Parts: sequence; structure tokens; C-alpha cells
Amino acid sequence: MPITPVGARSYQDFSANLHDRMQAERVAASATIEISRRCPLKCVHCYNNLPMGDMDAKRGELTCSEHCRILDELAEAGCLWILYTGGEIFARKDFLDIYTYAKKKGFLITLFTNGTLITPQIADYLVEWRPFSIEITLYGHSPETYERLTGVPGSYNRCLRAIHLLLDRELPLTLKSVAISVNKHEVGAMKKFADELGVTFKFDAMMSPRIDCSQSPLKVRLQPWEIVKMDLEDRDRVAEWRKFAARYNGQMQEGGHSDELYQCGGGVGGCAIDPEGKMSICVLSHFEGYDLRRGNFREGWDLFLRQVRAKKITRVTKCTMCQIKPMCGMCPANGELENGDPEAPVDFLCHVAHLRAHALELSVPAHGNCEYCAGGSAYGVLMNSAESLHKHGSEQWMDFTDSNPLFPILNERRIAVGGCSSCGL
Amino acid sequence: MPGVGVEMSHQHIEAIGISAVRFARKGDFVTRTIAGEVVVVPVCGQIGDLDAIYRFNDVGAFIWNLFDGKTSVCDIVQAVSEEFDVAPKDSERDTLEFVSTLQSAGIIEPSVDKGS
Repeated sequence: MPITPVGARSYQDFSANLHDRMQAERVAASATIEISRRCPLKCVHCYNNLPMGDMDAKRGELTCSEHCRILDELAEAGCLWILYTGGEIFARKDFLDIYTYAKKKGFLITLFTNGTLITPQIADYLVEWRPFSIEITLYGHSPETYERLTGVPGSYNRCLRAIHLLLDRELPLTLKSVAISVNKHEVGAMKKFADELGVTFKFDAMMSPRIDCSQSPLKVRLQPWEIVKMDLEDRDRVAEWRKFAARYNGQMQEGGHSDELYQCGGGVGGCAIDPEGKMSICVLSHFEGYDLRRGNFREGWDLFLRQVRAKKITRVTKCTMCQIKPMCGMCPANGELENGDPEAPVDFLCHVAHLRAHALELSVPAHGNCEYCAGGSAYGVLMNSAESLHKHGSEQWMDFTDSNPLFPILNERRIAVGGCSSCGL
Repeated sequence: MPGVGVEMSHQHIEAIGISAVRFARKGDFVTRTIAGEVVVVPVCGQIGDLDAIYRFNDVGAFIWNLFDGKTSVCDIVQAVSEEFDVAPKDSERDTLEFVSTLQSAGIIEPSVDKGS
């Protein structure tokens, strides 16, 4: 009869263990709830932002009482983790009412915000009703870069103020950024800034089209070689990629492949709910949604989302047999947004994945008619990217203190060849 | 439940001086049952989630609900023994360890002076 309370020191184990069990039983462990698409910033890369004054968007948002009803249903279904995101969560004046209701239900809540609407009063409130985690997106290290990206004068100072308001109150803050053409030169400085503050920093360079399928964010997306260069400059990131690849690459079942369209945790361990109450696999996937205004969470989860999640592939593509899939961001949502087809491989992601594998000197087993494997029609493009990577290898974009000697591609002209025998090696 | 065992438990608990102490939960917590596990989450106050998320098995959850400021440790030991059909000495050992752990973590506190 051991009675073992589990506290902070084993939180990671607790979380992993519970997620595994919940996923095995198809319990919705987590839900991402988009509070509003409205946002005071006008970031060019954003996949879903709308102006603060968009009255149609505002009118369409779930009411506070609708949010509370959905929270009741999520709690009943066994959900424990909730992520509130936007747009900007504080764009709604009643967000803290919704948040407090969620806290009282016993959810572990993470807040994604740009921070620009956080006041001392909000920060004080968060001390009393402490979130599990708060993540502020920092768009640049200098005011000029930050505001070139956000398009709003004064937003940099408001963001900085929020960071200090939260840190002064010892709230659990993480900083993160996107790496795009506008701010790529300041990602390293942002990391240093976060280090000096003693908070975790992470960044993501993989931009998606807008959820209305506008491709405008892709105009500021980095080139594949730029994305991989950023990987290579960060020892921690490289170590994580290597660990990830060792664990997951090449896990194709012998003699076959999975026929499931979705291979992520969406619809199995969690879901997304948009500002108007549409429940879907994830925040990027909007082709199929269940209207929580017309039904309840249990029906949506048990019936609708189960069916979406159980969808099978309709054809074999190069992604089907790809064994470096973990190095890639390809998923049905990306296929929908970039190609209008959940199964159509996204060329950009394929390019990045092959270049990443190439730079890390990972083998690329045969996976069908792949343009980026040796002999493929885009192999020359891949080699050009590798050449760009080599050419800029000595530059320190990330401004880390030591260069990374782990990657011969940065120091040698010789280009290693991938291992894709089906492509004519 | 063997009577001798209960007497021994009572004597032992008396010996360490918390027999009549009634513990109460400090602050607001929500008890959730997730995939068959009982998870206790702090709701408000200065305690961060990471410092105070507790996962209990069914015995722990049973005891947690008895930290109501009204039930003494002695009564909890007896209730555990009865509820889970375990020897009183086992109930006593585990209950005291559980109380000690949660008291050290600062999430329960005595609601009355011992012996009252």
C-alpha cells in the first residue's frame, strides 16, 4: 500500500507517464484553446492574426459562458493541460474571467502571449492565480527589428515591460521567438538576453501559410540552408536533433508503412478549439472541425475527431516511406495549408529535412521517388543549399561563444552523399 | 481488523505525539481524477504548479480527502485499515509517512493543537 505523492522533482516523469497512459486510452490530455484571433500586432509571419478592431471576428468569438461550459466538459473528459493562445489572449477583456474559471477547475494552464497588453494589474493577478507556464514571443532584440516585424511602434517597450513585470513577480516565464528574414540576425542576441534574465529561450523557423491558405507568411520564411545553419550553430539544438533522429529515424515498419493519415498526437492525446468553438486536430488544421456550439465536447471527441484521426492515406507518396520524417515538419495540416491537399508533400519541408540530415551526416534510407535524394530532380538544389551552408559556415549569426566543430560540412568543402538507393545511388 | 493491532497503532501514534492532530489542506486545491489517477492541483496562491502537483494512488486520495481539519490522524489510520483491508501496522506506517511528506511539502497543516 505505498502512498507516494509526486511533486515537482519528478514532474517530467509524471507528465510523460500520464500522457502515455492517456494517449493509450485516447483521453484528451491537453487542449489548445485559441481565445481570439485579434491581436494588437501586425506580424507578417503570423498564421492567424486579425486586427483588434475586426468586429466580425469579435462577434464570432465564444462567449465567456460558452468557454466555461466547454471547460466543464473538458474537465469531465479528463483533460488536464490547457494552452491558451491567440491572436493575443489579452485582446479579450474578459480573458482573466475565463482563465480563472479554468484555474478553479484544476487545469494546468500555459499562456502564450506577446506580452504587449500585460499591465501591472494583470501581472499581480497572475501571481494570485498562478499559471503553469507563460511564454512570451520576442520578435527581435533591438526595438528597430522588433517593430519592423510587428509593424507597431512602441510594441517593443511594452513587450519588455511585460517581461520584467512577470520576472519581478517570479512568474514561470519562457521566452521564444520566430526566426524569419526580418530578425534572423538577432536570434542569437535574443537567446543571450534570455540567458541573462535566467529564462529558457527557444525559437522556431518553420513558418506556415495562414489558416485561410494565404501564402503571405512564406515571403519572410528563411531559406532551407538558413534554417539548418541556425540548427548547426546551437550545440543544444544539434544534440536534440541527433537524439531525436537516433530515437525516431528509420522506424518504418518492416515490410510496410503506416496507412494512417495522421501520425501525431492530434485527436489522440489532444485537440484544438478555435475562437468560434470549432474543435479540430490542431490549430493548423481547419479543413474539418466540430462545432462545439452545436454539440458537446464528448460527442466531438468520441465521434467526430475519432473519425478524422482514423483517416487513412489514399495514395503512396515519398512521405509515406520516408524514414527521416522526424527531421521534417510535414503533416496533413501543412499539406492542406501549402498545397491544399493533406497528402501532398510540402517541397520546402522536404528540402529542409534532407539538408538537415545531410548536415548531420545521417543516412537517408530509400523512400521512393524523392526529388531531394541523390539522382532526384531537386538534388542539385539540395547541393546548392549545402554549398550556401558551407559558404556561410564561418559566420556567427547566433553569436554563440564557440563555433561548432561537430559538423564537417561547415569546415570542409566535400559534400557527403545521402543514402537513398532508390534514387539512383 | 484485529483489535491488538489497533491498540498498538494508537500507542505508537501517541508515542510520536500526533494521535489527535487533525490536519487540514493548506490553500485551495482541486482534486482531479485523470485516467484513473488522482491528481491534486493548486488553484490559487503563491504556490507554483510545478511545486505542488501531486499524484496519489487510491489510498493517498482517500487520506487526502480526510485532511479536512476534523479527522484525527488516529481516525485516519483506522479508516485506512478498514477501507483497504490492511493490517493496522501497515496502515499506520504508510499514513504517518504520507502525513510527514505532505507536511514537509507544506500543503497540509495541523488545524488544532495536539491533544485537544
